[in-house]
Amino acid sequence: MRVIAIKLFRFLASYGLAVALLSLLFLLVFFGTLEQVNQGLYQVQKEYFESLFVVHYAGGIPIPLPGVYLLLGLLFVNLLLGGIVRAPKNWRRPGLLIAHSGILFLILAGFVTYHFSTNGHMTLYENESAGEYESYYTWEIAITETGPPQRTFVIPESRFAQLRGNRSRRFEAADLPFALELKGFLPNSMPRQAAPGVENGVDGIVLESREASREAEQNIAGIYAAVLTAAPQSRQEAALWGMARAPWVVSVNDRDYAIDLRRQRWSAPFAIRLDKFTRELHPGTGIASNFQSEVTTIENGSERKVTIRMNEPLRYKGHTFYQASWGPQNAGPNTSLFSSLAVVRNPADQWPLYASCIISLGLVIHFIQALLHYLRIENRRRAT
Amino acid sequence: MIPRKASLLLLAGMLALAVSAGAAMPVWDDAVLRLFAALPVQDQGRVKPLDTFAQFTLLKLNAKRTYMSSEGKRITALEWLLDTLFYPEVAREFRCFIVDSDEVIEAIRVLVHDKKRDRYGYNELLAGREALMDLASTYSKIPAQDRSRIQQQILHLAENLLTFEQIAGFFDFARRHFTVAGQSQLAHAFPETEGVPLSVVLQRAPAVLRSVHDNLAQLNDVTLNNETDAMRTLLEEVSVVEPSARALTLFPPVAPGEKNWRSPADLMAAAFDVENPREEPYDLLADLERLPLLRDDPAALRDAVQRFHDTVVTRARARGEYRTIPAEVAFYRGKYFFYSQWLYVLSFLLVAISWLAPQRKWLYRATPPAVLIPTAYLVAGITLRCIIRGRPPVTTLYETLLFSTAVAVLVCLFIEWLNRQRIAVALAALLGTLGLFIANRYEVKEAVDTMPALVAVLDTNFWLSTHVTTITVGYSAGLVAGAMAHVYILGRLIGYRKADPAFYAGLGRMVYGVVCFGLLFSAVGTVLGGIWANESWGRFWGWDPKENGALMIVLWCLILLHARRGGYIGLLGVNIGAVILAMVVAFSWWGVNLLGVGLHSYGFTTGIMTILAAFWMIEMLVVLLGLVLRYREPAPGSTAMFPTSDVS
Repeated sequence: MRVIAIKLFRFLASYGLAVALLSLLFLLVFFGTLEQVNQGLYQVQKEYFESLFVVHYAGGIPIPLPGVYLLLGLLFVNLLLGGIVRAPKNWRRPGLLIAHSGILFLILAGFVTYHFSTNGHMTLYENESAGEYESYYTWEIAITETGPPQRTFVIPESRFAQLRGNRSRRFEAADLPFALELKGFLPNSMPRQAAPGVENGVDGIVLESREASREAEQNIAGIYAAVLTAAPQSRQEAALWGMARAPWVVSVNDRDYAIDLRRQRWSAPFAIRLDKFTRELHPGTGIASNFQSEVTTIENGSERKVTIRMNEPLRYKGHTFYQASWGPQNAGPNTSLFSSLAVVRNPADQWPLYASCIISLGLVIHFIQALLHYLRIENRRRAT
Repeated sequence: MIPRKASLLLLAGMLALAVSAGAAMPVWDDAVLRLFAALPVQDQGRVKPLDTFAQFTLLKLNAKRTYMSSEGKRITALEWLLDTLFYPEVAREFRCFIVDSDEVIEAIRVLVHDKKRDRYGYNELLAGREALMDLASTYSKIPAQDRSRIQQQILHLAENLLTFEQIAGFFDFARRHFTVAGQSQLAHAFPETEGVPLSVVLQRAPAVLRSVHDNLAQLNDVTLNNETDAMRTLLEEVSVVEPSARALTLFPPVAPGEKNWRSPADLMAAAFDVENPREEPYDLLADLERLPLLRDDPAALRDAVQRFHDTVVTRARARGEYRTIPAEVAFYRGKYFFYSQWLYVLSFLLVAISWLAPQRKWLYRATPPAVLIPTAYLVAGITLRCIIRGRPPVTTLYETLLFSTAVAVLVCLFIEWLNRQRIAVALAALLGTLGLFIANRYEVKEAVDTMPALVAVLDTNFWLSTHVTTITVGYSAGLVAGAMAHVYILGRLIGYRKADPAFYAGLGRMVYGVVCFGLLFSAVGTVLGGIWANESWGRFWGWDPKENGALMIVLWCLILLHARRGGYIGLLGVNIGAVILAMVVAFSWWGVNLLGVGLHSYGFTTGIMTILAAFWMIEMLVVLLGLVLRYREPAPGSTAMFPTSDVS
């Protein structure tokens, strides 16, 4: 047993594993970059960089590979055991130890960001305000009771994304007088009238599947929903679509419930009002020289004015607001513009900065020492 | 029959002679050239010397910064621009339109020259103008990446023709006088029978328009008709010259907060915008419009140009927009990168001679200074650019070429100083030559101002100076390591210094050292890029192709270093790896831009693919040769010379 443990430790801490993992990582980054031409960034990111396994097709030939998520996990272990635990601790040559711990910290930051950050956007016209931001990609189903007390129940995409085709699942909540049955999720869809007599649409509507767009934010999800009550037994059905003009409203026990398939939303710890959006161009060109949003943060009745511009985000209460885009793109001189702020909540926001300081320090110490060492040898060689 | 044909030919020849004699090249006074060179003009988002404008315009049309006339006289870009502005009838004869393939000329049904790639004159192309514009309008609807080479060239030629027409027609507004005939208030305002220049029209006509507008109620139908007809006729006349009057934006605006300079066309629009009256630099228009009329009177022209120049410069200076103009003129006059390229060639020759005569120590000692001279030129040029733009050395793809060449040369010189093996100094000269050759070719190919206005996200000196500079140093190191590895592999293959294993051990170790240096800069540069991305887009890492390219350099360096330390590869392996590193650098630096996806879409370049593919093929061959070496002989002095626990 002990022998096996030692062998396992040696394997996990080995240079061989390090080289193998780095080589695989190199390959995956290369393939993933090329694949973006076909699939677009978001899809590739999911398939190659956030996955445990991936099958890459090189000219039609399938190559099974471990995903970057798995590789980085293994690299973390390898680095910890080989680069820190097993590495010789010569305190006169601390460079590599420092650099390795910096990289560990960087991988950790990636892990925390992947699992614990949220990011979306808050899009506002001038004088509009909002306290929520919404995802670019992911969906949720929100059930809102109309009338007091107004409560919202939310089902995140991760709970219904698997319900393809005829797979269905029932969702219930203690405070809801009905169950919601979902089935036939489509990541990108378009509703249309059902052909009478040929198709059994829901309420005369069929959701048609569309090929996923290379720009993932352009995908509009769709799903079939049914509201079921036990007493009296009833079933009401609808097709929900991500860009529907209005939510589906059902009446149960004389109360109205709005059911909406929408982009996932998060609430910010304060509200933001857009006071003024400015866009400046370099004279005589279409090249932007500056975008900026003058906003007011509103929190418990107290207001604060802030300007957000390119490279100058607003960081406040664990959230960061960036100037992301604006529109409409073909606006004339008198059209009112909207400003889109990217909103990120990331506990590891500044960790890469700290990690990079550590890594740089370690590498600089190490390579300067290596150079000096080399110079000493070279001088000795010349002397003999 | 024969004599008749001969006489016809003779006649044709005489006619041609007469035409070319009539189109004698104008000669410009030095003082006039100096004044025009430093005349500020606003173009593509920034205020620059007219000389710069002329150079990049001619570069785009002619694929050269100078123009060689059919009589073999070489003129500068500025002279060409002035000829085109002041003597359009002469300039239309200039063969200043480069056509890369004669298929383009065939497609527009114009007489083809003997050479496949040749330069054509405006008057020659005129017969095919209509066909050219039809084709161009069809091809412009095809997405850029789907166009064929010929389609692209046709579009390019059409653009160039329009650019030329606009410049040649720029002074049309000054070459004509405007008259108003008939019975109307407007006609009364313009009693001069010989007509008035545009600046006078812009002064008087809007006042009449305003007075008619204000007294509409008192006017009967006939008078009103007279007025509108007169006004319409005048406006039509003005609008004829308006399009080409946009070619040069020469007038600083009056309002201090206003960023947009004015072209004569802007003043026309502003003057007739009677509901929105504002102060505009009409006095400058009056000064400017005299110039073309004085073209045959050198002394008067010089004085008039001086006056116009001085007024514009005074105003530009007051706006703080003139400060770097003289430096920019001096920068382009200095031709730093041209001279340093050729001095690198000379220094390489010197290194080669020093190889042939190894016993002459003084020859060898002369080589590092010989490489340092062009490097000083290169660094001076880069520094001047930084001063002119108020920016760190690298902001565009073109500048990465200049900067990484300088860094590569300096790294090589440092290595030479360390080991004095005559290898690194030769590589310094070679890389200097190559780097500047590519940079100069790239500039010609792109033919756009290499000091452009920057998009908002790049408008930050902090990140440009840290991330971009560091990552570019990383590129240089990767390429230097690759270049040295060539010497290692090819040298051993041909048996150079066969009896000296220490030489190869030293060389291999150097390559290893440069890979380490490259790792340091690529790693730090990549992470800094992530931190910048986190500042501007809200995410540290987005798997964007350019980011991935940088990461691949880092990963490859890490693979090499760990494989070496783990004992999986020897020095030969490190050297083969370094050649691959150069390929990875090429992918990251240029290759990913060809994918056409991602946020770093700056400097998206077409036509680079062939060069890049050739580079990869050659490097693959070197890698294969390295592998041949691996199986032919054991690595000389590998582990014994290089204890893994000792140096890293």
